[in-house]
Amino acid sequence: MTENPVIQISHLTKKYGDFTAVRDLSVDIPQGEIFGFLGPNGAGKTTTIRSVLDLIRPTQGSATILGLDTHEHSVKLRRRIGYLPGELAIYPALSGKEALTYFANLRGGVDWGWVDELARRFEADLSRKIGALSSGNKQKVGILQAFMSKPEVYLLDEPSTGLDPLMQQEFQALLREVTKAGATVFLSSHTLSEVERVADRVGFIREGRLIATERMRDLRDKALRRVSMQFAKPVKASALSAVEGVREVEVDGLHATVTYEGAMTPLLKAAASHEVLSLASSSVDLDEIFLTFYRGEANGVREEGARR
Amino acid sequence: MMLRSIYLKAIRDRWLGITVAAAAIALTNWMGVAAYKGIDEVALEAFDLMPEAFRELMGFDTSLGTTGMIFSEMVSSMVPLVLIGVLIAMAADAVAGEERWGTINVLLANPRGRRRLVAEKAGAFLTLTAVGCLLMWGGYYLVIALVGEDGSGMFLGSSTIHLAALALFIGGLTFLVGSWTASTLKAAATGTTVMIVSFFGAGLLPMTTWGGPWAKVFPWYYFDGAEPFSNGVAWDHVALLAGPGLAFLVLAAVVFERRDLKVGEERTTILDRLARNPRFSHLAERVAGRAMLGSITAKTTSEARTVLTIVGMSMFYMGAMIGPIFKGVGDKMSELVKAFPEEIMAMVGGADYGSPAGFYHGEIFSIVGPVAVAVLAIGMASRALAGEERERTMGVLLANPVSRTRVVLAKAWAMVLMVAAACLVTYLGVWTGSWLGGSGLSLANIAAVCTHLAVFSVFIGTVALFVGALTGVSRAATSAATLLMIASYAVANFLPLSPTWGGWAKASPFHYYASHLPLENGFAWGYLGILTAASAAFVGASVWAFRRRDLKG
Repeated sequence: MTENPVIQISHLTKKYGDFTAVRDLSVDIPQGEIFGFLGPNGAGKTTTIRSVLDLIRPTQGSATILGLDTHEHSVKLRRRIGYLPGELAIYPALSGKEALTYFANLRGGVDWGWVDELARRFEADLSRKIGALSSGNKQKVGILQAFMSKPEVYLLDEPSTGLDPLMQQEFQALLREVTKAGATVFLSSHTLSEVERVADRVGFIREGRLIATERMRDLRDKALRRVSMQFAKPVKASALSAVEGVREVEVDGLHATVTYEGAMTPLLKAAASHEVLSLASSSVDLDEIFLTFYRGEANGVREEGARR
Repeated sequence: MMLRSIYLKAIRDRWLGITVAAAAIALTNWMGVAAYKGIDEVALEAFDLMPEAFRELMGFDTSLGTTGMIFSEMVSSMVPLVLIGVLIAMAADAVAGEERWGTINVLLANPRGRRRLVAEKAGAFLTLTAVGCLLMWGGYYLVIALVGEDGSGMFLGSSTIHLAALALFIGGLTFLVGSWTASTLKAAATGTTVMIVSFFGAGLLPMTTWGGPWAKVFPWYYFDGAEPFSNGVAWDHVALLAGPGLAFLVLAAVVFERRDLKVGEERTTILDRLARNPRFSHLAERVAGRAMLGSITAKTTSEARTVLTIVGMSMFYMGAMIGPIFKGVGDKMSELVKAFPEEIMAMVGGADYGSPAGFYHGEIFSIVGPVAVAVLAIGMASRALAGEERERTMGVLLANPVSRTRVVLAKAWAMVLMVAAACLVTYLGVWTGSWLGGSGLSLANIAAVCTHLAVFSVFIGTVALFVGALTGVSRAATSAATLLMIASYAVANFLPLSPTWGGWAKASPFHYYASHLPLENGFAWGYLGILTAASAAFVGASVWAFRRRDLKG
């Protein structure tokens, strides 16, 4: 797949008795990539991350990070990994500053100037006890602990949980900065909005299986778009529905709404043969394709429904 | 079924602890009674030789046989300490626990008012208190039936009624503090302090010439001051305990109704307050700041500071008290003790109550000391691994470059350090008491008994560590180590009295702690070696167990 991937998961399977949480999952992530790991609740995202971190042991398969086996070299690797757990719990009796001091002592080599800079950017109050913080503010402390040692690899499990939109934006900016500097990010989420702005590639996991990996760019191209056109004279629906990529056409007098996927050029050419008075294109709607993945594979009937 | 109401769920969460406590007590009781039975006649003859005054002082009542004596000892100390200990944990957690874990929000999102919440929790506490007392009472009769006695002359029911009243008082107070402050820690500390201080206050003060009337200040006095085991129920005493106990529960509903709810327990220590004051913040930081976060060991020890303070202060207080008390009663006692046959000495754990060392051993080092220090060790060890998993902090901790082995070793080391600190304070307390009372104890022997205490407590702690490492369940770790502690006490103290089973006492870790009477005889290096080797083996097993399994949280 990828040459010298920073994160390489090979045939990872984790079973709990009869229940298989993750099934034969393989993925390679190259340096500098933000890999969005998407799936509904209970799909196996957290189990995958915890297996990679050696908190739980895979039933079969393995993972390497930076070329090192994650089980064999787990301690050495953790120095180079920043991890933000999905259900974040930090010592409630410590203040944010104390908790970070503790982790910094265990980790070594933390630049406090960088920590202060992060705290300022996220407006994190580090003087209060973690037990007294709201979940969003606690999440900020979690983000700081994952980023404070400037690791080479980030494993982030639903990192935006509880953050307000401004902070989410700040967080996305931070992700771009660290990847620009060469870090690699594995970003798990159950909402597309959390990853769509930053991810280079996304993988969809469902019922423990990785059902698809797509470049974000390709996904956007695949996404459905809608164009509303106003014509000078009535146009027949059949004139537009035959165009390549068009999925659905609705004509109401002089007004036509066209849903299509892929490039817009064929549609524009077809429309230009009529007199177009105005044209409006609605934004990329990834959600629909995402829902298709969510509901789709195991239940082909609903795929149509998702596309409408 | 058990999730139908707040009341039922509270019972579902706690019935096991009560049952285990009752079973452990019944087992200990049975072993004691069975062991003494073999030497019934010798023992009774010997006791009859004792002067009346001494029998009175020590609470020995030969009219009921050795079974009666064992029972009277059990119902007046071990039964209430164990049962009320369990009930304190429950009462402290009842309301404050829901706030600590943040579950109060979802709970009160349901159509249940605060008053109803307190009422149901208090109802569950009352039910479990009653069930606990009934189980204890049933256990007494089970033991009596097993050894073929009839139990006549023992007011076991009366004693149980007094037990329930004391449990209601101390548990109710704990419940109130928890509902008022939202802090499980403050609540449990209050309950435990009242229990321990009043146990000693009511027990020791009457031994002095001046302290008798002051004993009535302590709730414990109303539990056994009227000797319900021999004389039946003293209803006025029961009312003096149960009345305030119920009032505490009602008051809990009132204060809980009025205050803001908290989510997540915020502990504010004196150091925190100092740190907030700019004038002292530098000092506070130096005392508490980086040092406590420097390593896993440092952080773990700093978390146990509160428990260490309580245990340390209790041990110091006891150690310092016993010397002056012995000074008051010692002369009389050593005269009396000379008349005692050997069997009697065996029955009081081999300690010579007529000598300062023997008196110290009997009063501090036979039960209370090992329980107090082992509670510290068990608490730290069971929280060490399983506790971090329960609170889901193990994930972030292990996200750092520390191996599982290092986590186990660092936490075990923290436990060793804190146990050593508690035993050092005990040493200072006993030294102070010996100096105050002019007991002239050998400093080397005080060091010996404190070292034995430390090594034994560490051993019990490593058992808790191992069970926690193996299962990831802190309750399992606590229960297993506590059971081992109680069973090993029973085996070491009661089996030697039986001609057939005596040799088995060596199977008990407690034997290697106390049987050598280090306060009289100094260090038993071989015994210390055995306990140390066993501890090291359990730490090794903990590392093995913790490395191989999936972590929780």
